[in-house]
Amino acid sequence: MDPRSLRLLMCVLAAWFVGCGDVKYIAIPNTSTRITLPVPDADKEYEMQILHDVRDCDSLGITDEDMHLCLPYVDRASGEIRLAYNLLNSEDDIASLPEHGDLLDVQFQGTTVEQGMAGQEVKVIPHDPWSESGTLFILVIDGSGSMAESGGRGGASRMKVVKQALKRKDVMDAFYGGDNADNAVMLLQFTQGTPQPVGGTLVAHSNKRDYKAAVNELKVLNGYTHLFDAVKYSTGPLLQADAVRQALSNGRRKPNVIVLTDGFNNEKASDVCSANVDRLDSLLDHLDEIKETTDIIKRPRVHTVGLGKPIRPGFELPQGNKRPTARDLCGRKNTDTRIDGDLEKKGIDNASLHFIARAGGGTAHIKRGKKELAKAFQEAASPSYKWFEARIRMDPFYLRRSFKVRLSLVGVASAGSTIEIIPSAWLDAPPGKKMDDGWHTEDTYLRTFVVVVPLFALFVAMSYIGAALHNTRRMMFGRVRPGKASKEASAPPAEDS
Amino acid sequence: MNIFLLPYTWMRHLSMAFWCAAAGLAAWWGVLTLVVVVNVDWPPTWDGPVLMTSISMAVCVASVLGEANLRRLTLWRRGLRVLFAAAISGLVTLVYYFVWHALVGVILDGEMLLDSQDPSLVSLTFRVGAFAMGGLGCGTGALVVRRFREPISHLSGGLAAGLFAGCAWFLTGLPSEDAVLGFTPQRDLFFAGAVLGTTWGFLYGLLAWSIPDELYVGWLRVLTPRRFGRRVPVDPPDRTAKERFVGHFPRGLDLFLPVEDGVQELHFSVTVDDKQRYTARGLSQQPTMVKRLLQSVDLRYDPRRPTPVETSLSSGDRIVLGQGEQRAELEFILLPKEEV
Repeated sequence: MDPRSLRLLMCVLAAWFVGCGDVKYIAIPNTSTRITLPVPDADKEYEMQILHDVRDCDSLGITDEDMHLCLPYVDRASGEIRLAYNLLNSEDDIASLPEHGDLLDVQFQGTTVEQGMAGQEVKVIPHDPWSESGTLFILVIDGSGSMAESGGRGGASRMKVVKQALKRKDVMDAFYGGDNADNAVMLLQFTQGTPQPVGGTLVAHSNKRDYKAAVNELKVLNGYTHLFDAVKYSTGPLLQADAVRQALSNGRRKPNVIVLTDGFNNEKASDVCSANVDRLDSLLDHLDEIKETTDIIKRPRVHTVGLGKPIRPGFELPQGNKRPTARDLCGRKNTDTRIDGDLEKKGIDNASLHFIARAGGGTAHIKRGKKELAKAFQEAASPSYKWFEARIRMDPFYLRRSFKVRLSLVGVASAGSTIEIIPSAWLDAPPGKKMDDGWHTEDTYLRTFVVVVPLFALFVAMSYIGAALHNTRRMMFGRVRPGKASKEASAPPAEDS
Repeated sequence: MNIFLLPYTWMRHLSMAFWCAAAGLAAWWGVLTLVVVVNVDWPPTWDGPVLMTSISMAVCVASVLGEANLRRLTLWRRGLRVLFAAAISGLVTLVYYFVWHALVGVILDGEMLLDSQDPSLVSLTFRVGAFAMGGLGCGTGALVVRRFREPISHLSGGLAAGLFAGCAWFLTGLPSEDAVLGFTPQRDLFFAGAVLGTTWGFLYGLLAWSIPDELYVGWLRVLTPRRFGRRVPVDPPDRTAKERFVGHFPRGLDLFLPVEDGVQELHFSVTVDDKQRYTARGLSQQPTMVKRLLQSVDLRYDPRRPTPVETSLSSGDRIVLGQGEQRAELEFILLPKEEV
């Protein structure tokens, strides 16, 4: 090797030793993990901020109790990664967001983390409900003839079950929030054609008494179930109506559409299941268009509630933004099955409801009975939160070198961020402590004493054990106590030692 | 390390291993505390050199300090030796570490080179050299302080300690829930660090330097009731060759035993040579036996032979003079030199 190459090599080594130039590593407190600065996606509606600094957490008003949840954490023993994030709008103000467990796409080293695949799991936990912004809940209730059929205990009609659920105190509390909440509820019913306001005129009920009165007016209207049109209308033309614009208070309230149905989208007597594929596709296009053209603050979220038995139990939405197929909606057997009088008696089109909710940034709930229905309404009316924890579970083997995690929101809003996590190859903090929910959190550093103290104690004990065994053996063989002398003996000339 | 707590048994060799293991464990714990609790903000590339150097220094210092304690050197000399050992082992480990990485940079290329230089990759393949260099650095430090005595045991002991520690670290850190004989041992990278420091120290303490015999002195001690516990050292203070005599002759003998116990005027002697080998000699025709586990040696003087009968002595041997009711019993025992 010539001297120049040797000098170059030494320079490279020196740079490597001091940390390779301008890469900024941030050490995460109480871990042996470092990160690089998270990089939020550009040109998105929101800036996703992956929290990595105690000051970020302080600025969100996170309590000391939750502070450890705010900072990145990697538990290599269980293969878990925890990242906390919040959203900033274009004016760098904190934006709240509702629960969105299924709408967070997590990529690990460029590969999407899929629930249940090879032990992978993602869980999103919201923190700090934020009720400063109001919500206009637009309830769009199915009024088709099937709602008159029995749907609950004691032979109560489905419409009655819906009314009972809507009038429950916990549901009303969820709609109207706390004292500071500025929420209102608008009720519509649909069968075929344009959904009609309950009571004949569009009214945003801002108190529970008016709301209850409006719920009492819900009734079965008969006719087909133009579900997709109802969703299209309530997320489009309805929001342009004067009464609705007024109710939205020029953007102070966010629209939140909750659509309830007990069957299938059914526009005419000859409709078969596969006929809904193109119609649903068209509705999804409409919802995508809204996402692209409507300001995030004014954009409606769409939740779907299905009352009844799912026609496709165990259905899971395809990954990515894949369009629905006849097999998705109908399964293998029912593609050409008529809806009217046949399929709608077997159950409800849960697959379509999931597609609509995902495109609308909401969640789909398939429930039966009053209590479950009430729970679905409560979840759909859940508040917005300031920050979220994304918990990711991987095979621990993948956490044995640096990795990049990308979080991105789909449907509910557009935002994303990427962070590089660099665990130490040589050292690791004590493994996490298992919580009640099965996930792990940081254990105290005092846990190191569990390993260190017994080992030190063993070493100290072993330093005495040689002497102890030696003396014990001498004692057992009578070398430390004199026996009895039989008689007097002659004395030595002088005492020796 | 205290010579008075180390009787002359085979277990004394383990004491240095435990002492160095404690030092290795403490070094790992110290670095972990720096990273996790103090949260020092050094780049990830420093983790390896800092941990290797710390363990190497701690284990080397423990070995040198342990020896100084056993020899009961003055505090000043202990301090100097510790500083010297720490400086040399630390420096040499760092130099070895970077020389190794320079060599890896020359030997490997492409993906392999990138992997070898990834400071976050948990791998034995790419770290084995670092462990070897750390072990060698540890051995070199103690070797220099001990004035290059026993170079092979220091360097090979250090190398073996570093490599074994690396293997133990990797195996203990493997994420597996496989049971071994129905028992699922804890396996994670936290525990692996503790195993790394402990294994390194233990093997280094066991292999690099053993407690020398020169720290002990042979004694003859009376076991029979009359004059029980009387004892005389065999070695002279200047550690030259010497012979100690036992009998009931009233003048000039090293250890007097009464005639009533069957001891002759000049009955028996123990010699030590300049290599600290002890020998028992029978000088009387009266019964003289050296007894040890499963062995008895009759040392009675045979007038037909030109020289007395001899046998080597080991610590714990019993010497029986006379027989029946009239008999005296002594033991030969090695005790710490400091008791002289």
